[in-house]
This record gives sequence, C-alpha cells and structure tokens, in this order.
Amino acid sequence: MVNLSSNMKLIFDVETPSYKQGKRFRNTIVRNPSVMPQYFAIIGKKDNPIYEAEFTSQQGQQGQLQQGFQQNLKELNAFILHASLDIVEDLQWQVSPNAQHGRGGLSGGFLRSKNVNNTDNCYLGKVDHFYGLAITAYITYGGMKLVMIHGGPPNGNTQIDDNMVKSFYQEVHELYVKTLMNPFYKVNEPIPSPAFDSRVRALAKKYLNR
Amino acid sequence: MSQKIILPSTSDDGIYTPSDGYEYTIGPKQSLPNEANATPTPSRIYSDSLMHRKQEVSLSAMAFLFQEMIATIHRASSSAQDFETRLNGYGYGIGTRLVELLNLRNSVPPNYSKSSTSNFLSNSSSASINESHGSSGTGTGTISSASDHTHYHENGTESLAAVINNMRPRDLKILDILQFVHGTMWTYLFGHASDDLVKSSERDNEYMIVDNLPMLTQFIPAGRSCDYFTCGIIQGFLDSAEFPCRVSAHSMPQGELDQRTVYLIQFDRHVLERDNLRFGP
Repeated sequence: MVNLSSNMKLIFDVETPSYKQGKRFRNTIVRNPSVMPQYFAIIGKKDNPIYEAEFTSQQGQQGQLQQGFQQNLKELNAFILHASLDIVEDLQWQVSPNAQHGRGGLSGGFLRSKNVNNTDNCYLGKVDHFYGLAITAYITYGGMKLVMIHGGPPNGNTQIDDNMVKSFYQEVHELYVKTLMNPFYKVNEPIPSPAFDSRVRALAKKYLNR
Repeated sequence: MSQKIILPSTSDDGIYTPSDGYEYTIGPKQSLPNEANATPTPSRIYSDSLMHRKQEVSLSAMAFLFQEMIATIHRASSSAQDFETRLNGYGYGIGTRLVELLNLRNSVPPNYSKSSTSNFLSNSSSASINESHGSSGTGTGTISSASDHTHYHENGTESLAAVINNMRPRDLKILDILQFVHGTMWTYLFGHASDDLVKSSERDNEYMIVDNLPMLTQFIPAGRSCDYFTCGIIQGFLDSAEFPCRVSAHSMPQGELDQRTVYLIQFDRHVLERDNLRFGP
C-alpha cells in the first residue's frame, strides 16, 4: 500500500509540468469551478460495480479545452473509489455520520464537509480525499453505495456544493429504485439499460455541471 | 453473458457506440458534448412515478394465484424443507425491493400526496386516451404517450426526489427496523399493522412478529409451511437492510384465534455484536 501511493505520487510529479505549460488553461478552471470532471459509480453488496459513468464538462462548444480526467490517471479512479469504501462502511452505522463529532467518535469529522443536515444519514457528504480529488458517498436503504470522485484544479482544494450533490444522489437513488421495480432485474446485477444511463447523464448535467 | 474480452483500457472511446448503456466489461463511459442535449431514451420504467396509488388486489384473485404458486412448488419439491426454502425464495425478492421502495415513499413529505394524485389521475387518463387511439389507428399513439411521460419527468412532476427535502434516516438499530416491518411494511402488504412484536426472553437474538389471522394463508387449514412466503418477504427485507437473519413460521393458537401465526426472526450473531458496539448494551 505504501509502495503504491508513493508510485502515485511519482506519477503526479511527472505530470505537473503539463499543467504549468498552459496558464490560460489553468485560469479557466480556477474561475469556473463547475467544469470539474466527475467519476460516479454505484457499488453493490459484494463491492462490485453496478454502474459507472464519467461526467466531463459540457462546455466544449467554443473551442475551449475539453476538461476530463487525465488519460493515464483515469484508470486509477476505480481504485481510489474502492479505497474509500472502508470509510463509507464505517460511517454507514454511525448515528449521525454528518455530525462533526459522531457519537461513537470512531472516525473524526476532520475530512468531512460541514454544511449538511444532521438527521439525514443517506447522504454522507465528503468522506475521503486523494491528492486533491474529493470523494463523496451516499448509501441507499438497501445498502447500495453511490460514490463519486470529484476532480479538482491541479493545485487547489476541490469545493463541493453539498446541496447540489445531495440532490443528484437522491435523484439517482430514485432511478435505482425504479430499476429495482423491474421484476426482471436482479439485485446486485449491472444496470446496462441505456434509458438509465441517459437519465443519469441528464441529472449530472442538471446538478453537477450547471 | 456473451463471450466478451475484458478490455484493459477504458480510454478508447471508439470501440462502442455512444447510444448503448453501461457495459461493465468496458467500464465507465465518458459523456460527450454532442450528446448533451439528446433527449433521454423513452422508457416506461423510468418515467412512471413511484408514488403510492391506492390499488388493492381482490383477496380471491390473490388466493387463487397463491394457490397456484403453492401447487407448482409442491410438485417440484422433494421434501417439506425443500418446499419451504423455495417458497421463501419467492418472497425474498419482494422483500429486497420493499426495503428501498417503502423507505423512499416514506421520505416524501405528507402534503405532497394530494397534488400528485390529481396529477397522476390526469396523466393516466391522457395515456389511456392515447392508447385507445393507438389500438384503433396505426400504433403511433403508444409512442406519443411514452414521450408524454418523459416530458412530465423533465418537468419534475414524476420525480419524487425533487420534492424530498430530507430522506428518511436509514434504520440502524434492530428495534427500529423491526418497528418498520411491523408497522409500515405490514400495512403496505396486508392493510393493517401486525398484531404484536415481541422480543424473546430466552435468546437475545430472537424476535417475533405475531399475526392473528394471516391474510394469505387463512384458507389453508393445517401447518404453517405456506407462511414461508411471508417469511421470505421479511427475510429479504432484513437481509438487504444488512440485518442478516433466518425467519421461520410457527403456529401458536390462542383462544379463538386458531390461525394465529408467529414469525420467528433469528438474527445472526454479528448483528447483535454490531448493535452493542455502536449503540451500547
């Protein structure tokens, strides 16, 4: 584990100059925080992905740069996301996972975002971070984990608009329940439906990219 | 699943058509700017509302269906235990779905239901008109009704999540989730809350839900084997809420209530350990 993370550090170090080349490029990102890429996944009971999607900026019409995850780091997304599942499973059984000091005090609130309603224990808020990427999570009543990696500016903290992200999760949760109502769908199976996919993307556009 | 090579790289966008859904052997699909304004794929499953409409099934029809289920399973199974396991499996899938559905419906603020029912009625009547057109004409009516539904969805009328401010908290304690089964789930299935919810005094992982007159098996005289359908529903519900357990049905007549049935729920050890660890003894 230690080796892996030091390798990742290495990759990041190598990649830094490419950011520095395009100053205009970096400025665009800082001014407009809504163009960040996101990687979203629904994780099933056996830690298997039920659905995955990558949301990149929709603002590429005027010849602007199409901002996504870097091609060579993109494949790490699934690993980063699964690494946060332990934290999610711990928070799953806390009475108020969004409170700064949980009753059990088992995992301190230092990583967590603050402005979330405390009675709600479906949306967990920001659970983890990894080199400037923020990870948020949501748990459905049936124990499905909705997890998302929010990409950020290369040298800054990723800001998360909790209300928008929470609304996004709730809408996807409803779509998931609708999938479940299909008697031919079995729990824990991947969701290959194009109708589901197109609706999730429409929601991402509505809530995450504005 | 067809024989597909699992591709090592997710970065090549050209290998699949953008109109397809999620394919787990390929990985996440990147959203492209030209599909941003595409209309969502029409689908009845995703455009219908999850809101509860009062729809009751007649007991005789249900009893007839249940009788056929029992007969089919009875023919196929070799022993009484085999029979009970199969019937349990029939109910299990229902339970796993109810845990999501009932909780989501309970999150909807109570004042929303009035406006939505009137909305739904007008919606369904327009759809039925469309369908009658379709049956008399060329069949285009059904397509237009589908697009009507997506239109409603985009307006937010059919989406429940948009009106929910706070989701109902997930049940974390054994007692909370049993209360939900005893109250909400029983009311949804049988029209009334179950008659009693008891904790065993002998073993601390055992709980009992009591029904004086089981709805489905009231016409079946002896033995409680047929009640394993309801056991399956309870077990599916609790299992998928991550309270793994075993559920069995027992006959326990009391006075005039000779059909009185007790559903015995035995939680796995680690559920109790977790409960103690998190919430104290």
